[in-house]
Amino acid sequence: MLFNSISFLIFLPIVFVIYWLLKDKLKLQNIFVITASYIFYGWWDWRFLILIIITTFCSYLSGILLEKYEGQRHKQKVVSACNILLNIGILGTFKYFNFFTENFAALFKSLGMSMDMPTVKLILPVGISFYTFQALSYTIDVYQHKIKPTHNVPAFFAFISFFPQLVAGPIERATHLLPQFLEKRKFDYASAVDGCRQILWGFFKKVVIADACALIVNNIFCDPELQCPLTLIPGALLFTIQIYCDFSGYSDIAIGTARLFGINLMQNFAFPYFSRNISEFWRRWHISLSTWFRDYVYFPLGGSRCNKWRTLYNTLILFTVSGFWHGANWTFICWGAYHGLLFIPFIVFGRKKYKDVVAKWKRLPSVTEIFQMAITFFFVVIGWIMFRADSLQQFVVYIKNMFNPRIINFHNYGLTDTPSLYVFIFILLLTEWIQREHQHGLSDLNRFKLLSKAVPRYCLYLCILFVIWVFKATASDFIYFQF
Amino acid sequence: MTKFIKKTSILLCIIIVTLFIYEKSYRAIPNRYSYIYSYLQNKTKAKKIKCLLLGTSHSSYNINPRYLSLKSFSAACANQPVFMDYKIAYHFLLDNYTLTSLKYIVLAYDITTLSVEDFVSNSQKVNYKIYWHFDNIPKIPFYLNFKFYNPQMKNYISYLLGNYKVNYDSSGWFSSNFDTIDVSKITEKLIKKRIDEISLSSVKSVEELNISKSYLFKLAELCKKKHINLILMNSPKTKYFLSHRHKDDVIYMDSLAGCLSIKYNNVFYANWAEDSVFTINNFSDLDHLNVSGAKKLSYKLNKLIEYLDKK
Repeated sequence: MLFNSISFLIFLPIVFVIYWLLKDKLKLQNIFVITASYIFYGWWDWRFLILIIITTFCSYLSGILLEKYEGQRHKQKVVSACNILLNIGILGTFKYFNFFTENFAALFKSLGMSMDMPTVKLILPVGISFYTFQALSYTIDVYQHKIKPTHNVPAFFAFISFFPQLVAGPIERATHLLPQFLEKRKFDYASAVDGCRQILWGFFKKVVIADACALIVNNIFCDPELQCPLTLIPGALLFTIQIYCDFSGYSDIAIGTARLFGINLMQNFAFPYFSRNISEFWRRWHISLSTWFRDYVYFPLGGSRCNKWRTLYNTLILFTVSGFWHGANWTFICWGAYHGLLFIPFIVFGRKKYKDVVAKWKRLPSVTEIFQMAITFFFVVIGWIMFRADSLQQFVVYIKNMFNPRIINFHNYGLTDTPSLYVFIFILLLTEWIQREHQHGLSDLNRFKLLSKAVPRYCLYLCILFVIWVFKATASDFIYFQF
Repeated sequence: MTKFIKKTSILLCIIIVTLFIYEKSYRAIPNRYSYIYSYLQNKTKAKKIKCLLLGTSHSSYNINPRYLSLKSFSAACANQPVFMDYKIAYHFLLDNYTLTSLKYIVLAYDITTLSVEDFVSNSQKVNYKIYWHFDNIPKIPFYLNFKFYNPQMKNYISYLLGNYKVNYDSSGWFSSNFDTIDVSKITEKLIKKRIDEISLSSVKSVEELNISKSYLFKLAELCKKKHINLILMNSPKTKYFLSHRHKDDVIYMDSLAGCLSIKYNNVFYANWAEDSVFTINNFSDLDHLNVSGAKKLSYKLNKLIEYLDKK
């Protein structure tokens, strides 16, 4: 079920009402969460529910076994390794099998040997990477004694399958989310209202901006060979906006929806395009995945507490794996490696770790900050072209033509058809700049004098709803669903 | 919780009332669908019609009924497949017999004509349902029965301000001005994309194609029953389009037209796809004519009708 669909609009209020009717019966409430989540997920294809049930059950069982073998580190190691292998195996089969077979076949062919490698026509289950990683984090955390294993089956199944974040995150940690399903939830008016605002902001980003950008971007990326910089530069910028609005829009809707159910999910985006260096960007972009890889890949490899060469190696591994997580394509792997390479100057010369948002307590950034943000943004945009390209060849052509002013073959591709889109992008950037110290674009509205009163605030909500209603573009899937 | 539900309900009420008002008033805005239906429903007006134009944009854009000597009216719409053409003909020739003097039906004839229902956009299906009162329009999700789902604020605001202009004339011709095609913007990909859109490969399955074909035969049968001549008109295409089109499609459509004209003596096939009279300046895009092209084609059609009339 898509967030931006009519079915979800009907589904959400029904689930909301039943959920809170069961507020005094924790077990029943959790069972209801599982049922609702499975309906939500099964809406695409009920057969994929089998996978999620297997993943959840095995992770639950591994927790119990890890507790049973407490003190027997060797057995615990075997249990956690089995569970990790099983989860990675499922993920690998559905997501990477054909990639590996095709590449092996190509490799043998280049060596002059022809090999018939089997390829399987498998449909990638929606959000498999997200819930697999969430399940993995539980087993690792239990193994590392960060959390005690749970015996509460409904709570554990609800933790893995909780519908708002099931298909595209945020990838929650057991230490944060699981305890919330073990305790009674209370309805908090302020939190629910803020959740609604976050949902509204998420819809604005997805439906008005991301979907409208997608229409133009798809056309431009379809045909970069014949284009000139006048088309390719806006195309790259629009994709940069699209992917941010699409994914952070989803996260906003997910976090906002969870808050309606008294559940707090972690922040997934913290205005990443206002970052002053690439390190800060990665602390603000897809936070739940970055921290997952940091804790379960980077730190076990030694992190940055070793010599520079080893740190560099660890960083490259981290980003390449992270790129590969996004999909079975060389473009994703190279995109990851590219970001890893961007870290080289920071590792060699040391980096400035920005803890606060840019221009904190100020209205505008300094000239240096503007320069830093522009440079970071430029490198991020180049990365996004690689991410969006169908192949590395297409990426090379795109970059070549983007910086080649001699080709003058301007095609509109809808760039000037919707001037309103640019107005909305401006509003988005302005709002997010003003709200950069907060969770989302509409949080804490009461601090604005005008919006502290109910009537203007309601007018603002209606205004945003009106914009969503009138300027919604043709609905498209969330980009991160494919991962 | 009560406070939350109360406040959300207030907001929801405001939204519902707004949508209701919009829906009511938007449906009142004159449009091509409501105009065609009311025109054909009107017995006095409909009984004068001798030639009815049906089919897709290749008919609604390319033929201007004003240039035909017989009293003509265009009920063609963009992407209107033959199953809808049949419904229209059936409705006004049998169910509600208003087209009492009809002598000719001109049907735009190409692959789009044989399109299956999926080809018709949902917003178009809603128009057939709302303005033509055709209840058995298949596969529309419930929410698409409302105009507010796809709001067209520009039209709505200009209507409220009194600046709204309809895009059809009294003869039903789609009268928006079309610019002449810009040859420098034609790319290989663009041509291929357009060809693929309207080729047989775009049709989902053989069964669906057969259903569409059966409607074509039903239409010919109905015309025969009512002593009406059915002209299948393959309208002119640019040289770019012609050089890329799939040969199989051409053979298929030509043989189908041949089949129909052998089986029914009231069916005539006018294939003007490759007519050299039409220069590139007569086109608005790869396969649609502009105003000057429409005038040329209408005269051509008129000649054919006059010839058939004498016969």
